[in-house]
Amino acid sequence: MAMCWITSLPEDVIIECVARVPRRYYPSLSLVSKFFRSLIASPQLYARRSLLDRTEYCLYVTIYSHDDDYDRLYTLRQKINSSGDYCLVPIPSLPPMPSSGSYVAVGSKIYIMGGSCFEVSSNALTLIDCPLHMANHHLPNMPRAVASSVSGYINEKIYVIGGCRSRFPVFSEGPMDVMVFDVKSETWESKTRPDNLVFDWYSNSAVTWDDKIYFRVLKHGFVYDPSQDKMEKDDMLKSYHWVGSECVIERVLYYYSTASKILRSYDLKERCWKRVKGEIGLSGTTCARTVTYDKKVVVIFEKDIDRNKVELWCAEIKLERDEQGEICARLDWCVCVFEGHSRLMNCLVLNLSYFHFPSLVNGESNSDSFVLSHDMPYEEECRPIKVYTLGRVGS
Amino acid sequence: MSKKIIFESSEGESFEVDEAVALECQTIKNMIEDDCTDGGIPLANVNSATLTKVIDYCKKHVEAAAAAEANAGDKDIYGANKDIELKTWDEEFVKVDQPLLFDLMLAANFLIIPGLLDLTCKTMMRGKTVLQIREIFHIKKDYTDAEEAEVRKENAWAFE
Repeated sequence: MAMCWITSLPEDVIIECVARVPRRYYPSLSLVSKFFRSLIASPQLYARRSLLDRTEYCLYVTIYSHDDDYDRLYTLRQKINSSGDYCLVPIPSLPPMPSSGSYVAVGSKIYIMGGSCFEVSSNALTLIDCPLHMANHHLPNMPRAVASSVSGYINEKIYVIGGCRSRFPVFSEGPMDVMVFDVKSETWESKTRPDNLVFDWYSNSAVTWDDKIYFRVLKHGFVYDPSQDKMEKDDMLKSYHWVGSECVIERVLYYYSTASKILRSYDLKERCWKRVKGEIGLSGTTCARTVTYDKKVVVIFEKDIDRNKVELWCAEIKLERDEQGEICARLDWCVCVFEGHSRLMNCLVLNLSYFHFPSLVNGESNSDSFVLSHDMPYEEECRPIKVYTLGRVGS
Repeated sequence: MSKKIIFESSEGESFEVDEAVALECQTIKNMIEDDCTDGGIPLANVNSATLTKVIDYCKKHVEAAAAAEANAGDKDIYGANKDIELKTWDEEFVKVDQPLLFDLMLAANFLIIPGLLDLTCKTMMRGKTVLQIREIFHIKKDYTDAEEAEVRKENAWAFE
């Protein structure tokens, strides 16, 4: 094999250089050499990036395929060409997921709980380390198998509320029980509710704010306060058909209404709905998810083309204050990011600035439990490099 | 009269700088704190040309920080202008040939000067093609044509 090594440069300087290149250009960098390719798939690089003074968000979307009854994870990436268009890129290294699982973003990680496959619900818990896309399937299973549950992350605990036996809640309603996963100790706790509340519909709508989880089912809105294990009805919350939204910006919940083609807001403190000023008018929308990053509202929505094809579009909306101090929405851009025989499921936003080495995240657990997703094992590619000492480099 | 620190370049040339300027380098700061800078600091891997530039950079940034502090209570348009001025100065500063930029980056990494490392790394990568990056870092292409096609295919979405 030809020697391809970088002779005079310490590895950490290359990491310094690559860490400062926008991630959008990493596909180009992977063409430089095998070392560069392994570098851009290495935890070392993302650990370095997370220390640089900027925030980096990453949007993940799960898409259900009618062809095989599974959900798959996609990530929104920007193309290198001059148009700078966005597209949803599949993550081939990750296995297909049971449909209608519950997704929680914790820093740069995604926890996936339950779901259903061929109408059989799952109790699996999977952890995915982003953006390396290493999956850990060795976490303890949930006490109960559920699909279409509501979930939220508060103070190092994940709360999984309700859920149903299949992904069609209307036909298989379940109790409003809560399962709690402690991400530090990696243990589950199951709580049954005395109040006979029924979980009968999953609307892809749950937000976490002020250490409480806000969500709705078919007939009611609820606020769950884990510190007191209290489930309180908030029927104001469920008016206006709040669906498909996990978007809270400064105590205000936003969702894109596909029926009215406007953005609605709900002040979680004042408990009142408002119509957000500004024409958005995303055309042909049947199903939409609203999320947020960088104080912007992001809407991913479906456009039916024909019986076998749906397009997914992504729109970024800026919120501004007008002369009266009222919040107005302004559509920044809107592009088609995907097409297929598919359906839009979940959207979630990760903050890559919170990246930590995967092996450290699980405390005791070692890196053996992680499946390297790429066929380029970092250890093998990255042979030890000369130690950078005084007098070796430069003159 | 402020304390002076003496650097010695790889050619054995001595450079005397104010301690405040030397403190811009984290590595030197640690040495000063450990009190082992007497008799000068030999920098066997930094040549005179590079060291001159590094000292220029540190001097400028110490002056800029002092000026910013002097104007701290006076948050007016001038404060903003200073920032832009320093940015422009930085941009001019790295308009050097590739080998010197390379040496500056290595020196910034070794001496731990975060601002200079950031500046040189960004300048090093900005607007470069794959071929140029191979050239700069002295990397031989180690992909076969088939392997390269595979990597392109993997990221086909990006190159569309």
